[in-house]
Amino acid sequence: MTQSLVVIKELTKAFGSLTAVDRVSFEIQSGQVVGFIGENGAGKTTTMRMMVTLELPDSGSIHIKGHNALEYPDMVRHMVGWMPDSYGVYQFMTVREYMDFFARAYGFRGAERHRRIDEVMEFTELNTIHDRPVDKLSKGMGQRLCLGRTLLPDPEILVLDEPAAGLDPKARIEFKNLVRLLADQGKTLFISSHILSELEQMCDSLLFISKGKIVHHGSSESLKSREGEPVMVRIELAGTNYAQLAEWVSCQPGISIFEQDASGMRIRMDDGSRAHLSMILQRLQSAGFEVCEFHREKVRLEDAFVDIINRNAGGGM
Amino acid sequence: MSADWLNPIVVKELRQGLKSRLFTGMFLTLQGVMFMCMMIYVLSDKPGGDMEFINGMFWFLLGVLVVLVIPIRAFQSIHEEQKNNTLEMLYLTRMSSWKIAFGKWLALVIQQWLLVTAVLPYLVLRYFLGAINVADDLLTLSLMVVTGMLLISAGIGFSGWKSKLVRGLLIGGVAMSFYVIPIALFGLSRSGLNFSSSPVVWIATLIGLVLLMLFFIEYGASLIAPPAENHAKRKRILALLIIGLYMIVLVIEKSAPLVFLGLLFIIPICIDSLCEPFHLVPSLYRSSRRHFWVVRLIRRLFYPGWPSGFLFVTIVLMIWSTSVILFGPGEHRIVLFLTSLLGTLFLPLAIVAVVRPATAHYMSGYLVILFITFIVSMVLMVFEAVSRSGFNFLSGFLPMSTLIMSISRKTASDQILSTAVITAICVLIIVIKMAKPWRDIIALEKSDS
Repeated sequence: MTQSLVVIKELTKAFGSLTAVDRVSFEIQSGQVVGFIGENGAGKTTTMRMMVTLELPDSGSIHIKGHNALEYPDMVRHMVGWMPDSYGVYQFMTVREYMDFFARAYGFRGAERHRRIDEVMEFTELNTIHDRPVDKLSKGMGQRLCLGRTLLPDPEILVLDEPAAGLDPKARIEFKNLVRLLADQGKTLFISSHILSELEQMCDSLLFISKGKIVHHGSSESLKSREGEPVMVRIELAGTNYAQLAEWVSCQPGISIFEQDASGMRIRMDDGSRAHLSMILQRLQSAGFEVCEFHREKVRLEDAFVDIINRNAGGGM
Repeated sequence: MSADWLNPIVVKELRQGLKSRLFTGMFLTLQGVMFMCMMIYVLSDKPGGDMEFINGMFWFLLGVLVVLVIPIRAFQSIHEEQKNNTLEMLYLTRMSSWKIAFGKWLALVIQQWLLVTAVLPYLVLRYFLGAINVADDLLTLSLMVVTGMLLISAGIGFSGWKSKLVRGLLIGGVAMSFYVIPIALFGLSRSGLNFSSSPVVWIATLIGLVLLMLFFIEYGASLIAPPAENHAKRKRILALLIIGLYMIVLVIEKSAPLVFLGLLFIIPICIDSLCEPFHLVPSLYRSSRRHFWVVRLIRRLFYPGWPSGFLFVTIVLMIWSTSVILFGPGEHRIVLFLTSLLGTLFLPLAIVAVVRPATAHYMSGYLVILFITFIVSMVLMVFEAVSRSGFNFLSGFLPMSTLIMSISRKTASDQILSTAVITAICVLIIVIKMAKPWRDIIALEKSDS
């Protein structure tokens, strides 16, 4: 069995009486792209800051490539690239000077430094704005600059906190493309975001955090198609006898009307198994309804997230 | 593009600093005022009278810039980075916290030197205009530069504090030292310490100042370093170097006041040792098991955190007092002085350890209590001087009061008992409070991995 690149065990951090991160445990394999999802104040940033050694946990452990982050922060810092949600810039400095400063700080010397800066600036398309003052950049360009700085030392693991927050749709697409390219290069990415649909497309697995506790860890597919879980089914009839259908639904155990419009009805079924779906369809037909559309709706990640949060309101995973 | 070997922070700070309005403004103002002064002198009918004005203007303006404006920038240096969210970016680079703090110090010192170099032509011009002694002027200029460098290092050291209260108290402490140190030096010169006739004393003072500068920079570095780094070791070694230096000078010069001068340099290191945050990071203690027991005991004095800091301060002050007794000309007040000094340093720690034991940093509480005891001691001194009522025994319960009185030679012998009692109580409280941290440390020393 291969050793996980990131192993987090029972991580806890409190700020006064508020427990921001509560016995969080998870693992990330090498080359994985993991999305980190949670509402505001759920503990995402605190967890990420502890992972990159910027925050000290009250208890628990973080191992990055086998190194304890608490005991050997320097070794861990060499392997991890951190892109915070908000970043500071320096006055009186151009994009090129900014990158040059950080390249020096990362220990690049002479021609190697120039080569690395050129590579990163080309990758992030910063070369087109190389002489712009860093404190006068737009949000999108700033995020690219921040990513460029993070990529300079070519870290194995990239921890990105809300990288797409505040970006316009065009900048968001460009940024998403950059993340895809990094994933293709085999980087391990740990990304937090509020835009769940984007994470769904980019990530191999998703981690849901709520009130400091991990409430789900798995792929988006496993999250959306959990056998036996409630599902939404859309029914459309050939005729318009929806009042009769509503009456029929109300008599059936385990199903209820969720929504009704002019062209059809959405019903919620407590048991979403294939067998149960098939049985309900047969009963509908036996009851004389002319069903022309009967399909299980795809669960949106947002809905799954809210559902999980509601179901886990009482306790963590 | 600048040279590769240069500290990146120096490159960045100079890039930013030299382009800033403040530096450009300072430079142009200095040049403008100096030029105007020279023109006034050349065009004036009464050159002798104007020379005083020119001299006054020259030193005032230079002093304000070198000893005030640039050090004030240092006091904001690391804090500005924290405020702008840029410091954390630096943590994750290959740069050590020392390199960050030292780079910031060096960049400001270079800017200070640039200003000084820019006024040198006017200094030479003043010589040709007459009525000045270049050697004296250069000496004054050098003292100004060294003072500025020391203040910049203190500024860098203290600027790592996020708390405005702590930074305010530390800056207040630096301001107060401008009042206390001249009094102490005056007292020492009255006790026989002769600066002007002894190059050894000068050299020792200069080395002491350099070591103190290094301490302040290291202090700044320790504030921004991860808890897994042991900065206490370097800071405490600096204290030992200062003690060692002054013991050597004491043997050469046979002048007891010298060690008091050395003591002035190590007091900030002692206060830092007593207030250091204690984090139980296993990697700091585990390797101790491999060492011989004597080495292990010595290593314990250099662990980060106040529990080892307390032991270190006690031992350093014992070494210091022993050196005074052995090599000095027999100071009979040394016992009272040492007791009151220990009490002064330990009283705030004992109170903080009892009142706010869970606080990571003891410094804020410690400084507040130290400040209050200083104010109360001063009030007591004034009250005693006015009323002439002998309540020495009561004021002895405030060790700082006894300390100030022992320096000013106003101590009555009945003070020693009350001071000794309160110091002993403080030591007892601290020993009780540090029992658990030491148990944890020893357990970690014994653990395998």
